[in-house]
Amino acid sequence: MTLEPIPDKRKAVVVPDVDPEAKWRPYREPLPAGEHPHRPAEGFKLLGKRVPLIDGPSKVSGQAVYTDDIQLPNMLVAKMLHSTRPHARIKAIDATDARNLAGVVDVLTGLELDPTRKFGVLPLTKDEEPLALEKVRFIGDYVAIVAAEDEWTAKEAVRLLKVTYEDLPSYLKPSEGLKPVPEKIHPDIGIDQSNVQKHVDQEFGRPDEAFRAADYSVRRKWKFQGVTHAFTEPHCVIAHYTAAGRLVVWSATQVPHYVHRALAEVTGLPMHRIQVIRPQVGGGFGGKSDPFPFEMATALLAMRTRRPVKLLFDREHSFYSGRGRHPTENEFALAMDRQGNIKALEIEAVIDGGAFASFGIISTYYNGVLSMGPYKVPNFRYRAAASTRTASPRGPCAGTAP
Amino acid sequence: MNKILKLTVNGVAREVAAPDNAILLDVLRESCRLTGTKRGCDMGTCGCCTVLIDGENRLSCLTLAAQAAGKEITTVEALGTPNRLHPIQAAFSEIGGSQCGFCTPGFIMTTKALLDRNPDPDDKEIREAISGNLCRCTGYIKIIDAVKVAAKELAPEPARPTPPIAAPARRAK
Repeated sequence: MTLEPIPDKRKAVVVPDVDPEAKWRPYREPLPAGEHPHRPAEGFKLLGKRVPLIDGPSKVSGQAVYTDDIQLPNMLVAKMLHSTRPHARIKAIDATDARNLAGVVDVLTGLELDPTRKFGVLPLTKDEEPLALEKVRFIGDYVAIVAAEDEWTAKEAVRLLKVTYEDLPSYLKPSEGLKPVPEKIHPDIGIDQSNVQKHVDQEFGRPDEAFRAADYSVRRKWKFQGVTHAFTEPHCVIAHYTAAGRLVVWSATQVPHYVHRALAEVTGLPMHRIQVIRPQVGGGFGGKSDPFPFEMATALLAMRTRRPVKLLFDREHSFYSGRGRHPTENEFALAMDRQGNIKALEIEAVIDGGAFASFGIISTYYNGVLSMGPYKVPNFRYRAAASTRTASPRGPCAGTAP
Repeated sequence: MNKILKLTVNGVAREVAAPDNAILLDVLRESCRLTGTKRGCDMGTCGCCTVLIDGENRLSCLTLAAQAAGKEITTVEALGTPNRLHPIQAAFSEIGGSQCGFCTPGFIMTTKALLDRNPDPDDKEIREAISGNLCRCTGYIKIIDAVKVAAKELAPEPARPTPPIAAPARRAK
């Protein structure tokens, strides 16, 4: 399915940059020179005062405990094997050498997982797996996890893992996903034979008439290349399955409750036997708002080894794990009258969701809903398609809209 | 193969068993259990791991532990505790120069080195000094404010014009 072009019944008159005749009406009279609208609040106990963070002293003295600062007795170090292919079927994983390496305690691959136990932040789009089950969907996808007595052994074991891939076509532009594709990224998700995960069509007022009647209109295309949060603390998770049969997970997450729910879905444990602890988090900005596959994989590894396991990502894999703001291809059209009032806004957007849905449905709606900003827009049309792509998953970044 | 390293961390002489290629950051965090020094990028871009080595701000993730042997290493833990904060720490906490707090120890150590060599830095000098530290929460404005407040607090007498950096005390003799 493709996005059909909006019937262009209106004559697009491109606005000159400055129209000397236009009389712009300010929303209120400008203040006299030197008068600032935000005068400092005076005579209050709290208003106008700096209020230090309640945990400020612990943070500035280095005592605040972040996930990586926690060290449990007898703890194993986990390392991930990440995919080197954007889209490929996993034919085989040879873990013999890795398992035989002294100091390696366990190796877990997607081939050993229950394929029915998937998860996702939205109940509607549970498309994520703790480790890639059949195929990898982006460079950096999670293929296998190793638990070892120390970091260097774990790294060496990851190096010894041999994966046989069968490459599949990769889709590197959002718009590529709109057409029927030979190999869908998610066989069971996506409208028809495309990688489109969600279509949104919203309209109010009469945008076509407003464009025809408008004094000026302008139509432009924009591309947004996507950004990442670059929180200073890389992803870190510690899982421990205690002797009492309780799964305790410490994670640098913004959403301990979603992680809790996803862990219950993936492990099959009842929720009362799972505890998720969120220590201090070194920045998230939306980038730690998903239950992550590596959190699930670390928990499964802790349940298999019955020892505490810590997984710390390096900066590179924190970036690969993605969830940054969606790259988009946008077409905006704006109609205005001579006084500078907005008469209509029309948007067509193709949103890259990356390899997994994440908050995709919400992002697709918000992209339109929030595009009016603070302006009064009487006539509005928004059409968008969120397409999966063989690239890092996308998600909320300082808000949930591209 | 591990070797015994003799380090002086926060005034305490320590003997640490570490391989030749051990990184100072790992030794501080894992062997000394001083986790105030943070691991942000492990490649010298973010400044979260800044410590003082003989009074100079250095990135502990790019420093071999062996390079720091025999030298004075100072981490954020040495400055103050929550009930008795160092003026720099107090300024960062009160002004809001610390939000998520992950970059904060690095900024505080960078500020310490700056104010030790230049007690009254101007805006440009502060910006230059903290240019190796990344903060993703504050937008830096409050950090610069905090450095200024700390400089004022630490000043023994009313602030004087900045002494030129290339004028060590000895030259007066």
